[in-house]
Amino acid sequence: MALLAAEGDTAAFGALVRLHQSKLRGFLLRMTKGNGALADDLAQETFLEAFRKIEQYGTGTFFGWLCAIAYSRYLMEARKRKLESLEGAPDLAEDAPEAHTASAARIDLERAMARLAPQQRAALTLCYALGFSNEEAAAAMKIPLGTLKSHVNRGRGQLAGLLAAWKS
Amino acid sequence: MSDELDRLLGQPLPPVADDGFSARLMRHALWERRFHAGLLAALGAACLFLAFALAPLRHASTDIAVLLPQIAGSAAVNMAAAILVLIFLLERQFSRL
Repeated sequence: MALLAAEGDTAAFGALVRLHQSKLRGFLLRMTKGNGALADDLAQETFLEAFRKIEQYGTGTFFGWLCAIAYSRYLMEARKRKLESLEGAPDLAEDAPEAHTASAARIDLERAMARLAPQQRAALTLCYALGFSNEEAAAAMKIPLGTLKSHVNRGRGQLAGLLAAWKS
Repeated sequence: MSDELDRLLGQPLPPVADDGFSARLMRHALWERRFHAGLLAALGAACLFLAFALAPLRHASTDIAVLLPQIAGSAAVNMAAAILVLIFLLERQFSRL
């Protein structure tokens, strides 16, 4: 379907949007610490950029390519808004689906995730929740494989510490 | 704790309902594409207009008017035009297949 879209088939691109929108918006929702409006803006910009540059899509999975665009868009936006300079972990935004439906463990996880550095948050989300291989995640984040593994290990360690502290 | 953390981390992200997101996005994408195409066409037309307005074409137009019947009568030019039209038609026909 991605190949059809790359040849200019608009309907195929529309099908790809419908197929991937939920996962991509979920990824961005976690990256933006539950800011639904910002996550949707970033998802829209990501898909529009993909639509404009569809002929540049080459190897790898289409969703991996989307995540690479989304992550770089997120980093640009974070620099612009200084998102990561905010101290402490914010509560989940009211428009985040997790706020209404998630279990306590899930909410704790999201809160702990929000305390991690964005690189660690992205690495853990790509590798665990989205099922990327380490190589795919490193490619999506445009970082070396060793750096990716380091983000995963450090992030995991910090998460374990935070969750254990909250439990006790 | 490690297993519990792995289980939590490995849970898929909660699904996000489409709620018209895809349809809005595709409308925007198509509008943007049409807008850019229109903008390019308008810029091209403006450049063409400026070229005709500013370039010294008035003197050339009388020469062209004199030469036009000769050009139109030339067998070589007619053949070249016919080949161009044929290529255009064939290309359109094959692109539909």
